[in-house]
Amino acid sequence: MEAKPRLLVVDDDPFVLEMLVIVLEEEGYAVEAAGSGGDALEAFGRHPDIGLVLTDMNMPGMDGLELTREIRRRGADVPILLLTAHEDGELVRRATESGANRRLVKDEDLMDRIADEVAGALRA
Amino acid sequence: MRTDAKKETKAVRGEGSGSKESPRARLRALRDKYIRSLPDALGRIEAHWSRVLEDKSNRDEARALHSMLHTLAGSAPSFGFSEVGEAARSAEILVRNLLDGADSQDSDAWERIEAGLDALLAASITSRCEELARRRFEESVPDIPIIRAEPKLVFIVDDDVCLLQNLAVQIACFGYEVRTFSGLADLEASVAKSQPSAIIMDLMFPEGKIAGADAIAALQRNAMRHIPVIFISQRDDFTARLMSVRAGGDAYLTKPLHICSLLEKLDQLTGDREADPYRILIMDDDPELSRFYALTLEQYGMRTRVVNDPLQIIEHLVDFHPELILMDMYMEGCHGDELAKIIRQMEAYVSIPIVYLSAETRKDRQLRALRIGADDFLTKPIKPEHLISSVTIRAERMRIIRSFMEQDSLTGLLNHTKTKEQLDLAVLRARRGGGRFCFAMIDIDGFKSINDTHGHLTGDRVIVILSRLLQQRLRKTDVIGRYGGEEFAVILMDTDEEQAYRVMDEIRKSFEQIRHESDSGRFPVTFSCGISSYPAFRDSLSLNKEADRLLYEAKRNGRNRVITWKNLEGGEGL
Repeated sequence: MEAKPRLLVVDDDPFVLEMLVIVLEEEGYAVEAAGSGGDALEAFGRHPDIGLVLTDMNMPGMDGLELTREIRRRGADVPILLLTAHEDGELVRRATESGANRRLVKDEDLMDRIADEVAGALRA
Repeated sequence: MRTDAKKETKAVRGEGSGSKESPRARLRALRDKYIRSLPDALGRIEAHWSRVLEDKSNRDEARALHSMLHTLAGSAPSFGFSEVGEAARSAEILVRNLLDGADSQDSDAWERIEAGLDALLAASITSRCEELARRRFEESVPDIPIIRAEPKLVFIVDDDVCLLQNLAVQIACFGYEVRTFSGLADLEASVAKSQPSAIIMDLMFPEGKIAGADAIAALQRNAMRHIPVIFISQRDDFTARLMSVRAGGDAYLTKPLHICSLLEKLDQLTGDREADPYRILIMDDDPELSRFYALTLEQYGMRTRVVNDPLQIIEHLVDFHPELILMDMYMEGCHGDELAKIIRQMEAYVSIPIVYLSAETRKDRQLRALRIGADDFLTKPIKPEHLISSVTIRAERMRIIRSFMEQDSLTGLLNHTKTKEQLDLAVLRARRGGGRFCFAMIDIDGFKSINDTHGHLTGDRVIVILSRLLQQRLRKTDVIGRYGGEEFAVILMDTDEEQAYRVMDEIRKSFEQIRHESDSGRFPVTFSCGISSYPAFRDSLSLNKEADRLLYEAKRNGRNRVITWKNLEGGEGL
């Protein structure tokens, strides 16, 4: 079986971050966790084999949109999933413009859905 | 949060790689940690808010407040606390509007935010309470045993072989292991080999009018510990009763026997059902003093929980589920009467007795406290005997009142209202914790004709017998209620339909074996049962409806059977 790609997961909320790490590691992915946009970029530079980025939208400092734009600016075309606290038309537009592939709302199904969403984005 | 993020991330990685725990356990621990962190987060939100109020032009504070609410709106639902998430989201939008300048001139806007933050606090407290309750519930559910632990051994000694066999069958139906003796000859050797939990002993034998009592007296003398003995006899005279007491008998029943009273005695004598100790919560910010109260009460067999920080009382209420609260009147940060008000505002604790402890001797202050809902007022220094009597009297009264409110008077099972409440709770817990359970409705077949033929007293006895059988056969964690006249409801926790079917069908078979007595003879009774399950049906109303429908199907298919959705669909031959 082909080895699963390395994921980069970014969220400033340590609880949500840990939850995502646990769920995705259980799915067999190698997971890099970062608590800010800055840390995420650093990790992205360190691991050229990162195959997907899952990032929170709203973070202090560099937010998810800026992170997405920065990753795209560096020429990487990995799938990027944006996590938002809620759906919002304006956000959707800005997310698409930034070059993100999918959006995911943080709701009570997140824990169950996240693995499918990641697998789906990797297949696409 | 900004400064902590990096550090937290490293901690996450560290735990992640080295941990041997299953992901499920780790997620649960994380969820625990999250809910424990909520009060702290709310405290910081409150702090930002009060600084915003102090200086309404302080946009940095408003932005910090907004950011925290936003984070909460995202994280709370991710851990399953959607009410908290929604409340945080609403408050977040209000603060957003304020920041955008749309509302800043509007004086109502400030009040709306205040109300929004109150709602958030309320949602958090509720979620936290429910979470703690759920966890307590989960911890109390044992893993497998459907049928109660090992059966208790009972010896029955009677030279009337017919009665002996009959008693043996009936008592065995209630989960006892029975050994029968038609004479006194082998008894002593058998007791020496394995001491029974109880002996049911006839008084008269061919050897003599009170030969049974003599045999018991000899047994008790040689036994390592007292053997509970129930004497059964046709004699109802004083001498016979006296002899039985002298021989070491614990109960005396006259023939013809009512199996119901015999079982009640048997349960009493063999049961390890010592009354649960009273649970007393001690709220006093003086650790030394509260420890002293706790020790005093514990010496009298009560269970205590000491809380020194008034702000933590809610958590302990839910976790410890006290039957009475001992509360200091004057504490740092929160007055006893304020705390009493808060407690009484929670529905589950409207009626919990609160006894104040105080150095307060002024009558007007004491009266004020009593008006708010104190049940008694003990003035420091408190004599231990006063403490104990005040607490015991009130806790005892509370138990009696509660039993009136919650129990059916004939069977001691939960009444209709309480059973429904338990069903609602089971749904709530299963929804949150991803559990499963079954809901069974039972109806005694042809009950009206039993009443018509044998009289209401006999009918009542049949109901009591079935209720005892259910109590015997089901687990302590299962909920058993008398739903209506001859109708019972059972909630089988953490059980799927197949297991529930097996258990209920076993009980059905046992019940069918029992012969009920009446003046006009002995007769069997049967029941029908319908079982629905969660999550196939996801709310109490539809669980109820489905169980009722299947119960009706059981009746329609000839009664004396248990029906689940599966065996109704699959078993055309029924």
